[in-house]
Amino acid sequence: MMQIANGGGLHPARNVVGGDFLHLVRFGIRDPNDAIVRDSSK
Amino acid sequence: MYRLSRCVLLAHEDKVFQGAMVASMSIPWGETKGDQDLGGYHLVWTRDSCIARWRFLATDQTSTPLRALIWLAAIQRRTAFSPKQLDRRDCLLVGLQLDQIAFPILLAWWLHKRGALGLFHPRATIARAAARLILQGPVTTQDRWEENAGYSPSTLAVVIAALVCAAEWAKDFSKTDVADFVFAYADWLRRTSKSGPSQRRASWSREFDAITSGSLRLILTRLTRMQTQTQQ
Repeated sequence: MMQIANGGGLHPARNVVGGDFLHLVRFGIRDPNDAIVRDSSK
Repeated sequence: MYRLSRCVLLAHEDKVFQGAMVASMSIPWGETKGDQDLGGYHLVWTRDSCIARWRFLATDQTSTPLRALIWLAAIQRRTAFSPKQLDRRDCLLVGLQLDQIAFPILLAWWLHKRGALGLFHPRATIARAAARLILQGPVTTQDRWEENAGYSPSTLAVVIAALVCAAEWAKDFSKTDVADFVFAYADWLRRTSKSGPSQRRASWSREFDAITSGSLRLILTRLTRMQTQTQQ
């Protein structure tokens, strides 16, 4: 479980990802069509 | 619109200590916070500095990003930690965010690729940051978003990219053993970041033991030596 600051509440860690995970695509580490990237941006 | 946006970004730079750029001149939730609140965004974050300077490179302007890099090199601690600067003297010593250690390497690399470093050589800054990323990571004590600890995808992305740049740099200086190790480490991070969160911790620590036995100490000694030689 993960406490999100600024009143974000308590959530299971697997349900939470910061939007900047897209750095993985920006820096060329993951393909934009990578299944993990697509699933995470849904 | 282009000119105005560029002017707004430029206005965020300190007029006395050039290169220091606050994240924003605005305060979030300004209706409930006053100018006396020291938090806000009136701080120089390494991450925001680098990302904002990256935008200047897109406008083919290299002097502002170079001043930023020199400022970041000047405030970098021996541990490679770059604090959030409140003003010229004071800083907020809060949790360690690995991506803030990594970002100056990327900024240096972007400038290097454009041949825009001038007389400034960021070798010590890069060696110190790369060594710290390997010693401290891959777990960050704070994520860039709401400051949670753990394996953060955004932090990992910045760390991997920065280490690849650091390795390329080491290769340019014919430090092929350092380059090979840093490449291998970055590649290992990239590969292991694929596994699901539940398996991640176990497989990471197991692989980490395998990759580091013996070689890490040797390489870190060399990175530190590179850094000391540069300072002399």
